Amino acid sequence: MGVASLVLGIVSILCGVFSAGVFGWLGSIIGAIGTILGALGRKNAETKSIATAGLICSIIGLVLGVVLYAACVACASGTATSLNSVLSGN
Amino acid sequence: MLPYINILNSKISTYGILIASGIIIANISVFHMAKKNRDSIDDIIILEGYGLIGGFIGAKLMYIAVLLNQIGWDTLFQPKNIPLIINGGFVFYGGLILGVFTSLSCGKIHKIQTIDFLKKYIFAIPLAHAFGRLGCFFVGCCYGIPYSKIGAVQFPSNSFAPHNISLFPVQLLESILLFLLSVILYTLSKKSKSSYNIEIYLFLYGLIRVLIEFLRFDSVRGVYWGVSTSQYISFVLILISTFCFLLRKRKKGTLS
Repeated sequence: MGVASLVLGIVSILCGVFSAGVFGWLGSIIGAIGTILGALGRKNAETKSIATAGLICSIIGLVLGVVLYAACVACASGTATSLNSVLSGN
Repeated sequence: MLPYINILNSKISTYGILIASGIIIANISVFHMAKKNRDSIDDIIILEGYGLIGGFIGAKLMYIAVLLNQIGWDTLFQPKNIPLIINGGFVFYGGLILGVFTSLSCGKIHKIQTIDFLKKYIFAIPLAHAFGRLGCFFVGCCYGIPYSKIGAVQFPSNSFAPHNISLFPVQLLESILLFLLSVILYTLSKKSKSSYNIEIYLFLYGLIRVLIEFLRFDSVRGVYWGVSTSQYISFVLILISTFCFLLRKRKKGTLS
């Protein structure tokens, strides 16, 4: 659990940093999975330290993904406008 | 209104910064209270992780459902439109429903008392949501009806809102109401009177949303017979929360 969390945490940070937000959504999901595994790993005394590191990395990746992959909650107008403009250009 | 902030020569969306700030502040307050209540922070993180994954998928699915109403299947899933869908919006209610459902079902797998945690820490949802609404105001989405009296706002040309007319600042109103709702729920939790917090949240947010939707002007929200999709969901949530409240009150009454 701990190692998996650390790997996912690092991958989520990389997704956020190197995709400049394009795969921020993927980074957020990977980061969320990493936090779950990290928190589960922390329950085991043997893997607690590596799981904590994984949890921290996953939280950083998750937040980074959210910041860079900015889309509006409850906002349908943005994409619909873009889609409509794509359609009218056809 | 400031859709983007320049940090180290890169454009970062204000919405993203605000929603992330909302999540962080909500978590800090949850962890602070959990420490006092001696609840397991790891269990809260596990439930939150599942909630975020479910919420993300649910909010996106609901958004696609609303879009499908405007544009057909064929157009929506054309390869060139898929990035637009991925980078497009979310619908809050979709996220709330699937997020809570995922947390509840996965909490059972890990033997976590999800309902108890939800009752105590549900104030975090409207708190993070309030920051999201502030983000909407900065980006100019989810805008209000044309209005020219006190508090009317004109959005800049680089925002989603129409920029040549004065509009009602509906995002700010919803944000203030969500902050108030969060304070009410937090106070109840702090006084250990959180047994009806889920019902209170669903009822009051449903009510807020029904009223707020009448003040919104962004057209692509799935409106049927003058009532938006969110209002239909709000009505259902108000009914469910009232029913659950009455049922539990009655059960308590028969037990005592």
